[in-house]
Amino acid sequence: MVLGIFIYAFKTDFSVLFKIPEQWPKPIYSFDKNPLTQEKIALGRFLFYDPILSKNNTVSCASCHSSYNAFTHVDHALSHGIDGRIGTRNSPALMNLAWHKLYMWDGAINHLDMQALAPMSHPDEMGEKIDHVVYKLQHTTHYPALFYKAFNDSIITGEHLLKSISQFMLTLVSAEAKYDSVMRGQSEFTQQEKNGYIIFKQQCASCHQEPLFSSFEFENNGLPMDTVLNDIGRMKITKNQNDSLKFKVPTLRNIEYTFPYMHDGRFNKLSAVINHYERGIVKSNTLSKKLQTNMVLTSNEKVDLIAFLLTLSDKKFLFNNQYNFPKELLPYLNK
Amino acid sequence: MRLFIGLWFWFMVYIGNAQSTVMHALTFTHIYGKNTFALDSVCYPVQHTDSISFSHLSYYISNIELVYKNKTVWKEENSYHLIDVENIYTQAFHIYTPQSLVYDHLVLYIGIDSTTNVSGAMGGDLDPTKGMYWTWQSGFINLKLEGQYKKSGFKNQEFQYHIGGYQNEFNTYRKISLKTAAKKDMDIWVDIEKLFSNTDLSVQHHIMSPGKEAVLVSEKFASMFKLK
Repeated sequence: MVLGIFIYAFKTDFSVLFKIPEQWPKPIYSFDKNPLTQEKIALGRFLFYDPILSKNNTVSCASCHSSYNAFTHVDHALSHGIDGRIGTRNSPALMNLAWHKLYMWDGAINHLDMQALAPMSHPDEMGEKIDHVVYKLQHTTHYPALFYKAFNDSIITGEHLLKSISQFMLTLVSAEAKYDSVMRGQSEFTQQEKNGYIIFKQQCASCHQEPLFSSFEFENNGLPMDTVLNDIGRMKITKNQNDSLKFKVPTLRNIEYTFPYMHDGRFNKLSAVINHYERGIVKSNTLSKKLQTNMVLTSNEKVDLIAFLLTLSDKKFLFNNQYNFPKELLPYLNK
Repeated sequence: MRLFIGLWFWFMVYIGNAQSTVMHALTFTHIYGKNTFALDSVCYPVQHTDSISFSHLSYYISNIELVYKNKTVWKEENSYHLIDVENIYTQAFHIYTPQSLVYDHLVLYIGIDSTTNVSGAMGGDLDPTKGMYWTWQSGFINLKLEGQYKKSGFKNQEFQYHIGGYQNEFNTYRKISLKTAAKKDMDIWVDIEKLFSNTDLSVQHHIMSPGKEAVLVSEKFASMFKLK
């Protein structure tokens, strides 16, 4: 009986913090090892917005992952870091992360918990060491208390630091676009959007699978290699020739806000992306099997396709006040 | 009253458990060939012509088991131990086994198993602040060895071995099986020189990611460990 009440309480609590949208698959993230709580999510949100995670306290996660742009860095082809340094890849949009199998464009990271370690440590991003971040947090006036609230322990550890950042990122679920309400039968596509949806299903959906709009697999989409960056993608991690030039298929949700596009941000406009699939594909051994024939669209069809892609914009996600800068952090910044 | 009886019961169980448990000390002593192993300033000769010194050595011992006639008779739970030569307190620890356990082998693993490698953030010796987790690519560093070798072609004559990798052909997690009589404490000797057999450090001075080179080094782990 007591146990029953306990389980029930836990269940209701959890479903408020994280809802699996209707008809979506089960998440991959194992919540049982890091059960969401209000306090941990709030702590994770603080950390996400706090530049204390970087070596010189100038760059936070949010510097390259802004909530108003579906958590990417709009207008910046490559990620920026401390001391004006520039990385080699386009910062990915953050949403629906509980459904990803691997993280980063090349799948270098195998678990959401370990994801934040990469930008935190990279010399061209935050350039910091996690043990030093823990040291800095421990010596603030406010973080030991926040960690105590969240984990019942004011001694800060790397595990608790990473798990709380995960918790905040897990709450970034985008499933309230016009597309979603049409699928639920609550609104209707315009004729143009309808046409675009048909084209999407014929031409794009094999990789950008609904409802998450990605297969989360690695594919070579035929981009000519940038000879400055010389980025071989997934092969860098697997050291397997068959993975040369493959990158993770990105979601198309909120694509209106996540330009520029591709792993190196080479295209500024959706029309440029469509043109690439029409006549820009470079053939090679690892080219995706799904891209062996070029896409052929009339100019009207292109407009229709873009009209459909815009139905994936989720304003509730972009302007959710649970996701933006926590004002309570303001008095503590750089203290 | 019922509460009292309940508590008494648990107390008796607790006492019973305490009495039937044996505490064993596992001690790791590091040597370099015939010499004791020490960090910094101590140079060891290599093939009469060169010398090597070390600035860092740490590695994971995990999933400790006792085995009798090829059957596991006891397994340590949450069995992860980071051994760091700089920190003497990490070089010995206790295991607790049931009394009158019969076994003929002590089995332990160097490194972290693949399941743990994909299980997200963990604490204790597995905490990423311990410096044994790669940041740019997920995975534990199973063994970290750094130092100087005169003929290393690298700046400051340095060499760095960060041996890890948990996937398929790049797995560097290695089983060590040591024959033992059923005794209380176990002294394990670890010979670092064995890691460099058939290795030309002037060519192979850096191994910093999973791959073939790391696997070759990990294949020497088993020869390093001896039970005294």
